Amino acid sequence: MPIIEVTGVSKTYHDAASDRVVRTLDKVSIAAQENDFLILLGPSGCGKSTLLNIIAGLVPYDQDGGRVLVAGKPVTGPNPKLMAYMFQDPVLYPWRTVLKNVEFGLEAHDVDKAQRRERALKYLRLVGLEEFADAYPRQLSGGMAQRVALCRALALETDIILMDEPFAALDEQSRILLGDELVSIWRQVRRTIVFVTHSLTEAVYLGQRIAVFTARPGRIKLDIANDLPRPRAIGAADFNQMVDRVWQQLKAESQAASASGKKAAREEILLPKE
Amino acid sequence: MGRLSPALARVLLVLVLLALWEIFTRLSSVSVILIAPPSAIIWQMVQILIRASNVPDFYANAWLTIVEILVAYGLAAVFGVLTGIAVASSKVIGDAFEPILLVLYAVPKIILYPVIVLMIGTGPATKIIFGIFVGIFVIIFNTAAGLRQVEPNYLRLAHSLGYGGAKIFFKVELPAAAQTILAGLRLGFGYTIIGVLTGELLLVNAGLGYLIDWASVNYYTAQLYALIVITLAIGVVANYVVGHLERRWVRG
Amino acid sequence: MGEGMSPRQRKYLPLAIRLAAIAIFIVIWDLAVRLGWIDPLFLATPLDTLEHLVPVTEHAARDLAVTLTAFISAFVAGVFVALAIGFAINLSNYSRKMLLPLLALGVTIPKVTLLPLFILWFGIAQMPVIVFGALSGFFPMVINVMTAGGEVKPNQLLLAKAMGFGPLQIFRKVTLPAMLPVLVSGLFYACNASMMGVFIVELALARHGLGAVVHDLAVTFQTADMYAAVLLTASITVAINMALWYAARYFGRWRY
Repeated sequence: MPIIEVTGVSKTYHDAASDRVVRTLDKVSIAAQENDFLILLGPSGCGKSTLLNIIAGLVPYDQDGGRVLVAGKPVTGPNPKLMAYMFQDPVLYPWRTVLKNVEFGLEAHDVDKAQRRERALKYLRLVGLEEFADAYPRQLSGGMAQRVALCRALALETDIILMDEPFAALDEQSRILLGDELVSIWRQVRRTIVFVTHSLTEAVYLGQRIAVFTARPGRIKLDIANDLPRPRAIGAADFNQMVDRVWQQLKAESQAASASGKKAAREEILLPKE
Repeated sequence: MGRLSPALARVLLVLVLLALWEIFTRLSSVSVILIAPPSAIIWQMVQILIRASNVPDFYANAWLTIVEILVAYGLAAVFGVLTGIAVASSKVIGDAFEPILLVLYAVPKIILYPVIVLMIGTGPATKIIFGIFVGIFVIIFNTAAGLRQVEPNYLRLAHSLGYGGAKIFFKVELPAAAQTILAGLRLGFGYTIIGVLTGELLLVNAGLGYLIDWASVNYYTAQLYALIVITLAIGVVANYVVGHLERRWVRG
Repeated sequence: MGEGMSPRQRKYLPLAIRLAAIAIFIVIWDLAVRLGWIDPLFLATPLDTLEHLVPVTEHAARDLAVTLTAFISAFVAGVFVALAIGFAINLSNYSRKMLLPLLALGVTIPKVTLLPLFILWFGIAQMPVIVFGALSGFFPMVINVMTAGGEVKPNQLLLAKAMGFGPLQIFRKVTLPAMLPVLVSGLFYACNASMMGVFIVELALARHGLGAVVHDLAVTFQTADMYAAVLLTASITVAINMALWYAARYFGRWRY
């Protein structure tokens, strides 16, 4: 049984500014099996982040027959016992130390003080930030902060981790390094990861399944398995082949998204550098 | 709820409060000595301004207060900025005197008021000195802080272009620090006004303070409120004008 | 300046200058009286002032207690009302935008102008002292509470919600800590303002409290005693102010 099951889910909302009804998602269906590393890839505005938020229980979806099941149960709100969530902005609380930030999520669960500390330290060790446990967020670089946010998500020890463009604000080296770390952790601790990105390279580099979205209103255009052996080499022949395959699908959607006059984000799709 | 602009809502709120005040005063049995209705107050204000009221020598006294404020502020601004420049000019001097300035700032100046009265007497000079005292600190702090926070890159550029010390100061440092300095000057103006008026209301022998006290001891309640409103209005308008000037200069 | 000095000398130079400046000030002060530049009736020597410090403190002990009580009452009342009203206004962005300029006005107007009104309404006992002190502290504090409301970022609240925290927990774990530095800094300004308010009314009424003591000593030309009393008041206020200033810095340390 798939651990996440989305069936015919739509999302419409009323845009007060333009007084129009906007449909961001149109009967989207997708399922994630346990231990999948699923990428949601698409142009800006296609609704991939919205879908992630719906799965996380942060945003309601249209009650028109669509259904979202996580671990067999319908989603009605945030479920921190099953799903951890990571934003693009690390959102570390500046008044808490790194350690206390990692412990933050655990305070809502019945984990006692000593256990919380132990778990937090364990994951900090995993990403090599143990010595920064008592530092404050303002002392960290962007990459380090995002690592701490990752620890916080991991510390919840949920089966599912949802990530919304977590590396988008980092420089290229940090992106690659953190991506490697993420994959290595994924293989070690066996979680299901749903990862939203607009970067083609990132999608092919990290994902084991890639779901390509159409432009708004979003539908899943393509759902392919990415079986490239790891470690993957950016620029290798098989890597480029996979990128081309995905880009073919994505190109049309990306053009459609810009053509319909939507405000393009800073970068629509990141093509791999040679 | 979002249809009414906040500014309009504010005006409406004030009008509603005034209306309630008027109704309350007219209908309730609260003594006329304690409170006057807005209509009577406004009437008195008009009377005062056209010299038809029994308030003695309004314009002479008002002018005295205004002069005190202007003199106090002028001196506070000049000495404040100069001191601020001195403090910022050398790191050693700045480090030496900053704690002293902080301690002086931490003392509520009102405590020193009797000292000043004792030494200088009860004339306008006391109120001026006190006004300077209260207003000068924020000017010094802002000037020093503004100058110290000038981007080192600006200075590096100026040096590389061969500018000398004085030129750098007037062409680079001062304009870069201008925003903070002007903010300090604006705040200082408000504080100076508070200082001068405090002096006037405690000594009550001249100026607007004298008039307010006169109305109070004679139980001319409407006049009392009217004079208070006029005094507050002077303060508000003055602050507003200075704030407006600051905004214009910062842009230029 | 500074070349040719050892690092240790450079480190202590500001301290040396400071001490020298204070010493020069005290010497000039002393000479001013001794050499008659200022009539000794109006200025006491530093030594005299210090000598009178203890006797004056003992003599004014009761008034000191009165002032401190009035100050604490005024401060607590003003802060309490400011917190209540401030948090209530913060619930709606609209009310915040509308009322902020009005309340900011309350900070900048010379409230001392209302002094005769306060005396008219509240008499000449302790009431006007406490009410005026509370009002003086209220305005800066309420502005700070309203500003502090903007310190919490929507993302921070969203994260807590995603973690499964309820509204009360979110308030305790996210909203309050985010607001704390600005709130404590508000306490600092409110404390200063309340102290001044209390002292002004005591000076004006000249009946009870430290303000009255200083006033009486001044008009009876007990010069050394008066300066001692001023020194006493100044020391107490500086101590309270410094304590609060360090508290404000402590609570804001994660920002810098």
